[in-house]
Amino acid sequence: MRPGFRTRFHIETIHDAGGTKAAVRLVAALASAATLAALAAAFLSSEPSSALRAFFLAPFGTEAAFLSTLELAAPLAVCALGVIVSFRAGHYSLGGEGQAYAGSFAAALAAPVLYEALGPASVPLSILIGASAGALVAAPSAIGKRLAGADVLLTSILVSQGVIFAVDWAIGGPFRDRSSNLVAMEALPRGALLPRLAPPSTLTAASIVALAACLAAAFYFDRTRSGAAHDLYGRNQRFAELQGFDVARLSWAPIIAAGVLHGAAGAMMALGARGTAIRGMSGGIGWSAIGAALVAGSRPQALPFAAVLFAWLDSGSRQASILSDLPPDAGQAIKAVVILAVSARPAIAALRRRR
Amino acid sequence: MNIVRLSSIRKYYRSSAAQALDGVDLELDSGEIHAVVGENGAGKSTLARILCGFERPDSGSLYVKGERADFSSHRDAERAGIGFVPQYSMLAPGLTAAENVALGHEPRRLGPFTDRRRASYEFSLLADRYGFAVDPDAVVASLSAAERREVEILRALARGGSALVLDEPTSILGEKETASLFALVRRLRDSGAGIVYISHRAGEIADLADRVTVLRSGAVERAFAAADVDECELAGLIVSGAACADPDRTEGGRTAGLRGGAAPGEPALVIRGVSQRARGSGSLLRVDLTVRSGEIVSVIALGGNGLETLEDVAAGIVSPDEGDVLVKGRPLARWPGRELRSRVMAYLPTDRENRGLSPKASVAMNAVAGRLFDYSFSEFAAGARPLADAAGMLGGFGVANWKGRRVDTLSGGNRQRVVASRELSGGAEVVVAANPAQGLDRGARSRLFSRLAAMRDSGSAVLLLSSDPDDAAELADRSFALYRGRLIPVERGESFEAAFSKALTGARQ
Amino acid sequence: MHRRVRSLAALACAAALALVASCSGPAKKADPLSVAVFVPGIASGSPIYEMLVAGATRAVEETPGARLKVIEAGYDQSTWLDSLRDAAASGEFAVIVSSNPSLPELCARLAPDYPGLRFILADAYLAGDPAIHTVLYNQKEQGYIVGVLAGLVTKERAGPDARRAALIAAQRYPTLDRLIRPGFEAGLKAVDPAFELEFREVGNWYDSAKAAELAGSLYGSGVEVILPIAGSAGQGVVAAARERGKATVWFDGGGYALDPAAVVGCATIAQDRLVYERLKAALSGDESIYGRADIVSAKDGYVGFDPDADAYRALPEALRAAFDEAVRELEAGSPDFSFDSF
Repeated sequence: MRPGFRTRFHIETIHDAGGTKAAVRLVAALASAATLAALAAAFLSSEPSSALRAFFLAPFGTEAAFLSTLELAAPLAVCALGVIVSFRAGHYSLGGEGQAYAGSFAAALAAPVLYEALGPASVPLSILIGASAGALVAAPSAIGKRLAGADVLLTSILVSQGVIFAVDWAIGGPFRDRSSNLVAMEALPRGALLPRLAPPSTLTAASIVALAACLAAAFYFDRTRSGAAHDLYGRNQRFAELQGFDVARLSWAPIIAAGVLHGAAGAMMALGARGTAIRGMSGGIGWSAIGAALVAGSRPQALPFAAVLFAWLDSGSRQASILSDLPPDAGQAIKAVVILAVSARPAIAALRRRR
Repeated sequence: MNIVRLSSIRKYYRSSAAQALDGVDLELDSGEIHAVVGENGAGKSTLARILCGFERPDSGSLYVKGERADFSSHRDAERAGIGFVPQYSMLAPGLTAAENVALGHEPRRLGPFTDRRRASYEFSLLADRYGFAVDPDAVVASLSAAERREVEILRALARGGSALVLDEPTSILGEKETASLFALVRRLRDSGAGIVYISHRAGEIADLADRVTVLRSGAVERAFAAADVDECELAGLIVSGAACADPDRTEGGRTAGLRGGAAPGEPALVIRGVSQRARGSGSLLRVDLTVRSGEIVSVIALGGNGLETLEDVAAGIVSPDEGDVLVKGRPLARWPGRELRSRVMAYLPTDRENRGLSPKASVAMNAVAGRLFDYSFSEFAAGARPLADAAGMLGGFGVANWKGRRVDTLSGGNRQRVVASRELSGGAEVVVAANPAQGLDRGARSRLFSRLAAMRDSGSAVLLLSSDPDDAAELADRSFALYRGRLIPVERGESFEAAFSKALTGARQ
Repeated sequence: MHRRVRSLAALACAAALALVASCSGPAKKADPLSVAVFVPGIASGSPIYEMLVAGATRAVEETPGARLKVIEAGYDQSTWLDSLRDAAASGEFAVIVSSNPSLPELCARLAPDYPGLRFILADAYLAGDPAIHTVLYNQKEQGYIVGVLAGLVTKERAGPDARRAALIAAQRYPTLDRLIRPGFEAGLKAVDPAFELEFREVGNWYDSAKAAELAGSLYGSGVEVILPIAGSAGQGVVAAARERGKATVWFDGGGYALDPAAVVGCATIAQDRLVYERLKAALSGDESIYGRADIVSAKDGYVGFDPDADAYRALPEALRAAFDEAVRELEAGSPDFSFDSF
């Protein structure tokens, strides 16, 4: 029998089954978010119909809004990718916030100088510098883990907090643009920013880079030897050691990689719509990223959807609080419940079984 | 009197697409030992779990003392008087024996506080009644495997059970411990309890059981009184086609001593002056052991004498406090990880779930994990060659029906086969095999041993660590016993079993 | 696929379809009489924003067919641009009215993307952008007024050798550095050239506890009067003044309500009147204001002093007379703090 298209081109992996679980998780997250948003609009706002419209339609209602929502998702997706890379190696690094913030600061610092020297070609270089800053912030945790087996969870959060204070001080102090009324660094020249692909939306190349990164990561974990070793190491270090994997490198490299990704995301934020580094701009992206990674079930393929979901919640709730009187924190609350719902499903299933 | 009756039990596992039980009937009367036997994957464990309330059947019915019963959890089964002793310990290692037995039903003092002394006392009462000698206040982590087994049994009995289900209870016991277990089981039977005894060891069944039910592929093949068949036939029923052998010796023992290759060569694995302090009684005291290429050396020990520590040292998991370990003349610590683990040394661990497998990864991944980096980038990305390799390895060790499945959906015996297929397919020069036949039925065990013998014949050095003297009898060229951390050689000349018993219990030669 | 997944997926698809179907394509043209009042913070408790809202509301009420929406963007400066962009992108508004020195740079970034949108920004300065009209108060004069009062009150209460006063600010910014602070200092020095000004920063516009702490330590070290430029954090300074029996001067309006005893004087800006006038003009179709950056001062009547307060009236007659004299001279042009651009 002649092999059909599927058998001829279907590439089998040696990976575990369980692909549909991610789809279920995503759909459940979307459904619960939508339901909660609708409830919030109905009960917390005095103009439910305009709140509903603002929440659900405004972020996607026009082409510009839709693209801007996608752009919002880009740095979040890259940060969440960093979370996945680190968590799947068994390193529970919580330092993403500081790494992203440092990346924003470093990029905003380097961009004007690089732009003068190189013109628009400075953009990728500025992002690289941001990524390096993120790696630098991650380095103490990586070194601690490699040399002393130090708990990454603790070291990462301590370093990150310190970095946040330091960058806050730097942006508000010696590096502040005194001619501006905002507490921010100097606004970057237009050409030093990520080029806008479809004004008036805020879409830049960052969205494309984020998507590409997610696909590359998916390929890495599913189809490369290092990715398989990375994953097995995260599940069981002893087993990985006994198979001859380079456990020494795996004890620090994923942590640094996560720092690179968070730093790059921070750089993208500074070189995007904001146009500079503003004090406080990292705004909880570290935590949102962990949530998005959870919703995506630690699978990079599902990340773009999870990130867009979160971006929609952020944008929708902000629009709803602008265009109707929905409290602005409704979006954050919904996000929290969605994360809870998604991670509680195994617990609920277990409960049902026991009963 | 009939205690438990199962009727037309069916169970289908969607996750592994397997019909685990297909219309099984089983009856248990008081005062009888009913053995349930079968190969790996025949459905024995599933039956036990349904009987004890850990799973619910898809269809069929369960009767306790004539009345229809429906267990929604194992607590219902406990309340109905059915106790479960699992194959792998489910005790809390950090608690004492008495605390483990009382877990969930702790005697209370002043409201929410546990009355420890009362729990200890009740434990002692129970232990005395059944002739156990375990210290109620000993922490479980410090107990030997046999003692832990006793605690498990006491736990099952503590709820006042009339029925007990024992799942492969002797799989980690030595000979003497097995004998005392049998004595206990007979005492329980005589006192009126009904016992479901799950095993694949024909010798034990022949000694112990009153009735036997043989499962094959989820269905009952035959059910009969034990007196009606002899051990040989029984063995044949368990593994269809297995040849009969001398009932004093274990099956398939033809590999022992059979040498197809040359005489032993250079020392491949040298354990030199190794002392290691370990928790409880697991220390090693100046152990010297050399395994040359082309020979199988076995070390047999009961629990608590240092076998686990020897395993850790030989496999390079821990560095010994004193002495060193050399592989092919080079200290173990100096070997680059990948070369040592992928090419030179094979290791079949006792702790299969934590050292031998990645349970949530696929079977195929577990199979090729040891040779990941032997593939090129494009080969691995395309996936065809690793899959084909996995198919070859797994097929060679009799693992079927593994495509697209996670390793934790396989039965215990099949999982052991996966580990063996990964470690032994590559032609390693040094093999450290610790309890390699754990969970394997007769047929699989003999195949595995044949493979080890074949590797020996082509020049590998095999170190066999086990708590079953039969392993040594079948396979080893040279044997040692390990007693309280010291190696005692066992000569082949004298009655093998006698010599072993002496060595295992420390009696002077 | 599992049945539950299927139904969930169907639900998601239906929702997506509904969304797409309701996509309205390019943004509709906004009703030219629809106004958004963008408050970079919270209106309640902040006199300058309360006046902004009041003035805009009056203008809208007097224009038939006009509508108003108040948007409060909170204190996190890094999100203001996003909120502004959302308001602009919604297509609901034709005019955005706001008040804050940082707004012009944010609006200037948005304006090219939304060519139909217009901005009226008070307490701000930006000239030349065809979509933006700004009006800056001569806050140097405003500072001078309370500076003179602070100087006089200090001498009155702490004796002729007392020469210290303080300014507590939320953060440093050009308007503060170049207008308010020099004006305040000039006012103090007009009373006594040896006056020294202490300066402290709270760090944000809302932490009144921190402001109270800073004020407490200043009052404790001998300062009699403090000027807070810290938004709602200023209430902390007033509380500290009340506790220690000292005094505060206030900016913009509504200060007396906070504490009739502790707030001795308030230099006002006629923000509500200004916003009302400019917005009314815009709503009636006057496009000429856009692109212009106006500066209004005491002479024009937009910067002044509110004497209607118990604490002020309780001050000695002679003090009040000297103060009134200074204000009159200022209105007449002496000292001359006027400037053409910023």
